[in-house]
Amino acid sequence: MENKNVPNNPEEKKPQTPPKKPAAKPAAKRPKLPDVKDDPFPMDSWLIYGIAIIGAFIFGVATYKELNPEYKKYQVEFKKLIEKKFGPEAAAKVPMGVQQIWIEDLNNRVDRCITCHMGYEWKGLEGEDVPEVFRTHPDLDGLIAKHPFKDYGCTTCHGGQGYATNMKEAHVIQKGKKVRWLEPLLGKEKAKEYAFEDWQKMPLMEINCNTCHRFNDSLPGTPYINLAKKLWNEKGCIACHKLFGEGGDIGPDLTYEGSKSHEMFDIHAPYYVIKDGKPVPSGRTIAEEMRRRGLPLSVFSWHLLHFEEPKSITPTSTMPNFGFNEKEKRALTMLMMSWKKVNLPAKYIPKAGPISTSEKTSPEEGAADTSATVEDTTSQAKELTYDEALAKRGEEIFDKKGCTACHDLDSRKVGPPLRDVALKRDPEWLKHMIMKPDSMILHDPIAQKLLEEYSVPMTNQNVSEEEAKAIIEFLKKAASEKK
Amino acid sequence: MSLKERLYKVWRALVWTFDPADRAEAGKAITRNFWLHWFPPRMTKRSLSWSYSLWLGTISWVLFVILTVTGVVLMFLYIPSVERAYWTIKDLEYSVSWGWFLRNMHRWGAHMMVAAVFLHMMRVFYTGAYKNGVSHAARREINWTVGMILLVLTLLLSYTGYLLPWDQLAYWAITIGVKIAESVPILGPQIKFVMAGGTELGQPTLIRFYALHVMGLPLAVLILFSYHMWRIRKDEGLAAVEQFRLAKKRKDLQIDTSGEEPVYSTPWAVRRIVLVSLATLVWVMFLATFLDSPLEEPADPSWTPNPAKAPWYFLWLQELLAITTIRTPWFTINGGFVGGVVIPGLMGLAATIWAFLDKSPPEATGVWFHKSRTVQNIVFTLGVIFIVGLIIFAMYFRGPNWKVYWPWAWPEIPEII
Repeated sequence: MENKNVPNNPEEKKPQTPPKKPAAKPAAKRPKLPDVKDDPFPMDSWLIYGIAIIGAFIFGVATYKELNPEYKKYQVEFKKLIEKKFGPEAAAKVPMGVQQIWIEDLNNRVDRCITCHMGYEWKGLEGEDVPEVFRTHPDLDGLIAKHPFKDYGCTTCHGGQGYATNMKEAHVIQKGKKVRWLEPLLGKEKAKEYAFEDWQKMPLMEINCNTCHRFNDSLPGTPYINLAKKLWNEKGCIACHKLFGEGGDIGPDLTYEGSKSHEMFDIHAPYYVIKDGKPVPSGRTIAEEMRRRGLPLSVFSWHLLHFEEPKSITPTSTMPNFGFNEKEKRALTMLMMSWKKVNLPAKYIPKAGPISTSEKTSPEEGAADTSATVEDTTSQAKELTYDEALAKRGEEIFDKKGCTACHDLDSRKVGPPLRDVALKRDPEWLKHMIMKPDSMILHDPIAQKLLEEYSVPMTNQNVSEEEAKAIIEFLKKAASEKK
Repeated sequence: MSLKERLYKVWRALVWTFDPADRAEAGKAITRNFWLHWFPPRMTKRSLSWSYSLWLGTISWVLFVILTVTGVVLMFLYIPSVERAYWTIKDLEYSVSWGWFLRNMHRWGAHMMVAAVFLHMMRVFYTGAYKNGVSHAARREINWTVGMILLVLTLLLSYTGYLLPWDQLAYWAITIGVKIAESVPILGPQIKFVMAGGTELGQPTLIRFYALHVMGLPLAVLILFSYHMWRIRKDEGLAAVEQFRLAKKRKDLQIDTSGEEPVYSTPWAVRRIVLVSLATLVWVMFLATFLDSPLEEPADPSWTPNPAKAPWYFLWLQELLAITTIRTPWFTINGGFVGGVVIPGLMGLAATIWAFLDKSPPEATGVWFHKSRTVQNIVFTLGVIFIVGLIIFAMYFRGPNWKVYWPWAWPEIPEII
């Protein structure tokens, strides 16, 4: 502190400050004591004033920061725009301060994007003359009617940090100081960074579409994801890679590939080039290769390089080079990034099967494989035989495993009534559905149709094969007791 | 009587007089005032000088007050639940009025307090202020011991507060801290279990740390601080006063006491306390205005940042643990025991009993770097350099997998997209 001016030896400075009132003289009796009015630290008062002024100034700066958040200028500008377009009455209705969409049902999601992007719901701000930040959200009657703002917010599709109220942190712009948020805004800037031809359409957002819609074979408006899913089937990826427990063991399990931590991708390992069919070190690391190509250092870039030539990243990899073109590489990378582990509330789980733009399924899709199968498939086995003891055990397991939470024998609860299920489906199907409902939903048309009807997927309750057999006996018994 | 005079009379009755007319009034202003009554009516000028005490004790106390006030406000805004904690901090940062400022004040105040308390301990050592000099009543080594406990409590307060934001930084720093405790032989797993409230960090840990942070530890600090202050009175003032006494007793030593004569506590000491408090407050406000507190991604037990580091004041323990873990084909040294228990334990014990063992002459009491204490000052300084050096090394030179890197050559970690 500024104490240089305060001498510690008082004898030197005593004469500088004579007491104000020398008249009062109680100190005369005990000469050792100085006068009460004799200021031993004459600088202190000035220091207090000085530091108080500095403090007031600092507090002033803090107050300025508090009262002038970045979003304020957007709100003032928006108000002016509304006044110009719709008159002062409409402008008076423009709210001020932090605005947010809070969705309690969707894991308490909070999106404050609308603090600046105030025109998102205003009709009449669609034009090119309106600055992009204030423009009406496109496709309000189509896509948004299916995904209303109040139920989905903004970041569910667009990415970015919903809580933030300044652009750098909301859009997660990593230039300069790092923003500690894992999901950036999947907008035009990001698409441009990854050299998408159609970056203006913000293609990276398809990642977020597919995070919920991963069980739909195709989806309108997601050309990249649709392409990737087609490639997945064509190239037979499942032969080597597992999804939900189904598939080969040669490659890694990809069920939740998109949730893999970015810390697990070693971008400082050597990058290999293929010479005479053999990978040889290029002398560059993966990170250097990304920089050389102008790609951001990211997991996304890692996947791009990996799809181009798996051996360039992992020289011992047995994954073949499929010769994917630029578009296919990006599509597959997006598919990988979209396979995230998310905690979706039941009502947000999309319908399985193909989704078309019109509400109804097109006739040829509908009739072909499902409608007939849902009702009665194996009605041939009317005569049911069952083992009494095993059926009794099955009933216990049925209770203990919590099946009764969703299923009743005679009435529809969350799931279908099960009284005559043993008549309708063969035991093999039942066993699969009880033990691996998740993979059945993926692959079995009946299970998919049922999900569409009941909209809540059956959960995997870790039922062993032996237990499943007992439950099936119990279901057979229930069916035979049908009145 | 004018209104101003009336108000001043009320003020005088309640608080203290700014401007005592005579010695009696100056004395009453101290003894009749609840907040000031533990001060003596007069203090020596050297006890109040900047250069003797550096006022580090007062600064520590003012920081504690700032932390209590901001902390109480933060308690209205923070929810100690693993689902909500992180998001209430996000709200502080982005939507609560003055939330960012409060949080920054609290965070920087806490770091400052750890530093101030440690520096206070260093000052006391270098000035031989735990010595009793020629006073018969003084038992200053007790206050040194209390001070050591207060230092540990300050570290614990900071450590428990570190977890509360429940972000990656907090979660993994606390995990490392718990791991250090776990590496204690025999009792380690039990200590970990008590700290974490289970086998891994989760809601039970958060609520334990929260309760300790907002109630248990501040209360302990408050009680011990009061005792710490009361002891100064019973020890007949700061150790600087001993020089004053010695000068009168031992003329042969020819101690120059020209800067020692007593001055009145009101208004001169009180004014200086106000000055120091104000300066501390302004400094913390300055930091809070211009430096933002870190908040990383939400805590994720499945993703360990590499490297995960303990809070800075425990980094030296983490480093010690790493370098004392030695595995050879012939023998293995348990770093948890050697680096986590033996070395810091011995250092803490040595520092605490030092005050009881220091046999330097009474002249070495209350003066900076007395020549009779040169050797022990060097030993103490080596200890401080050891701790600070390890902290700096671990903070700036330890990269992924706890390998040594230059601070500017840290390998980058990829973004996701």
